[in-house]
Amino acid sequence: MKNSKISVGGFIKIFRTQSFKRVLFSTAGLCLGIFLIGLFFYLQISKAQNENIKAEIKREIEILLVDYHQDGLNELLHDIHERRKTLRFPRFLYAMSDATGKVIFDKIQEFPEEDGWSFSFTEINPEYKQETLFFTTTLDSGFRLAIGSLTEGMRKTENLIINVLGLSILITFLSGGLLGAILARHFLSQVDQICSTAERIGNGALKERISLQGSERDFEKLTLTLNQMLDRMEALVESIKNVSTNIAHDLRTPLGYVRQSLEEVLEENSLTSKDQGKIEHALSGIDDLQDLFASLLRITELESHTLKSSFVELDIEEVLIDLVEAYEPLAHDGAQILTFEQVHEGKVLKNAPSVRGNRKLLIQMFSNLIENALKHSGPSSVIMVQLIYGEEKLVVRVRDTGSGIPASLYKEVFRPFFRVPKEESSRDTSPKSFGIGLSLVEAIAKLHNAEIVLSDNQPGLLVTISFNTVSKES
Amino acid sequence: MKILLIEDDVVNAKYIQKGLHELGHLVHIAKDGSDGVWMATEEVYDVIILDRMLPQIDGLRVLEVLREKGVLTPTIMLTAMGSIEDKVAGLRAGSDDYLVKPFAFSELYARICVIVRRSSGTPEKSELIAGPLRLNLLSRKLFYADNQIELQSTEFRLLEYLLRRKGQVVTRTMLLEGVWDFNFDPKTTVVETHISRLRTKLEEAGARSLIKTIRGAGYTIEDDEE
Repeated sequence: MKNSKISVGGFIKIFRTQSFKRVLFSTAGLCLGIFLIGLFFYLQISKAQNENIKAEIKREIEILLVDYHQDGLNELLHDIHERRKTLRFPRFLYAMSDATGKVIFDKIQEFPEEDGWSFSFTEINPEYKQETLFFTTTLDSGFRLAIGSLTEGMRKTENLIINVLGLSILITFLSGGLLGAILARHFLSQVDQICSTAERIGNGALKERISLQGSERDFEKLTLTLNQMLDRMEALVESIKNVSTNIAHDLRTPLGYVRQSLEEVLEENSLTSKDQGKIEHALSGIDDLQDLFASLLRITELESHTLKSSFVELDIEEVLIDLVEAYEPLAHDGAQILTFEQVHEGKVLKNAPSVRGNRKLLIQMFSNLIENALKHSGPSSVIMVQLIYGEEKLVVRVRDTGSGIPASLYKEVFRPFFRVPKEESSRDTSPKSFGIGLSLVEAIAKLHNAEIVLSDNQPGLLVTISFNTVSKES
Repeated sequence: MKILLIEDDVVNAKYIQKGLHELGHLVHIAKDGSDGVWMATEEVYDVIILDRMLPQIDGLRVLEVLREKGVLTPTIMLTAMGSIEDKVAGLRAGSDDYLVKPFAFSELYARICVIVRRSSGTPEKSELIAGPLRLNLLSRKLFYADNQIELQSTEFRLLEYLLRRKGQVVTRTMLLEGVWDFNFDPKTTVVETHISRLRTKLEEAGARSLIKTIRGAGYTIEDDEE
């Protein structure tokens, strides 16, 4: 899943970011603030409502008690009866018990045992009772009067406050989480961009830089600093490369002189055959060095990509057939078998796809691979060169049944001057080998935008080179 | 011979290449005009076979560009257009010969031999000889005295290369470039092995030490057997 869609792993990654955690922490703080304010508000309103009800009940009691003291119990009962009868929805609930404690009226669940404020339930209908706040007082006749008010209104207000508070906290928390996720995703996309660029640079693309596009101010500063660091690194690597190239270039002329002098000495008749042998040995050493320098210069030339202008559309099959024909006698002499095979994945195309490239460089690349296979496979081994016509790619495989290379060294072997340690492989690492051949192969493959992969042929080494065909490239 | 074939029709190009390859010639194919111009200016060829109808740059224009650049390689033009005007246009553009499709391969090869002979100023030999050894370039057969020796195409190219430079020292680098198209020194004994095979075949027929090794320099082929 890409772009707008995020995978489960992507979500986990977002939740683990510091920016998401920070926003979530701030949101939690904000929610706590909202909760405390809400609580204060709730308590204050609840208290005010309570006091209001109590004041109203007190006032009613005082009015009734004045009547009672003036005109006696009957007048009191009359007043209460009047209030209940005339008002359709009486403001208060009235209850009275006689001197024996028997409840005269009304239907309250439990007549308060003690004087003062208490809560009880009033039966509104047989199935429904409601909480009521009562004030109870004992009259001098032994009768007890309780006046109450339903707390339903007060409770409704309280519940409303609790609901609003809960909803506010939930909305704040969710929007905070969403904001955190957006910020974290934005942050991660910038970090990912830096990571992927760093990865490409690590894989050798030293010219890559982190894009400034869409980056925030903080990241802009970091990006600029990193890019400056990369410029410096690239310059250093380039100068190291130039040093070896310059050495290779400058040493070729003096080496040529030495070679010429040695050849002149060799032509003298006075030399013993022993001396001749020594000079020939020295000459062969100089030839090897000259080859090495030529290869180093060639790699530099290949990496500069200037040779791309020499690319033409060419037929790889023809190149491979010529090479197999050239090396077949060598394989035969070494009791090895070298074969060429053509494989069509899918239907056989009338016009086999071709690639754009430099013929001589490709000859050198494939020849290097075939030579390696011949050199590192013993007698009775089989070396197979395969050309596979795929739908989009043209793949060349060079497989041998030799000793192979440990998988851990598949990347290392492309490094210049790297040679497989003797203890790692039974491959021939003769002193004549400088470990430059596969570096050259990789440089040629890269120049052709071809991907080169080493793998286990079980036994032996399998080298796979995938080219883009002309139609795909265009 | 090293031949450049500029032809966009893959089937036709393969057919010509196969035929010439069997005759021991090295053939490079350019699939369009611009590739052809590039290859012809970058490398030296003995002959160019040029198709008249090409994508990007027309065959006539390719030839004009090449001649303007000073590439005077003998060129034979192939075309489906056989009118007198077309032939004249082709020849005026600098073509040395003009062959109308469809054609027989033997005719193409004969015409190639003619234009190469004409351009070199010396009559093209139909046989290369070194003492009793005779390499017939037309029949592609090798004889030592009256015995025929069978050669593979690479061996034929190698021997032809040496015989054309009879009496001269041919270096390993020259052989690598001229016979195998290698412009690098392989770390294996490609040249030595092929020379050794050729020598064995010659020796089996009785031609001993015909190909000599010049120490530190290369190889040479001479008339006289030691």
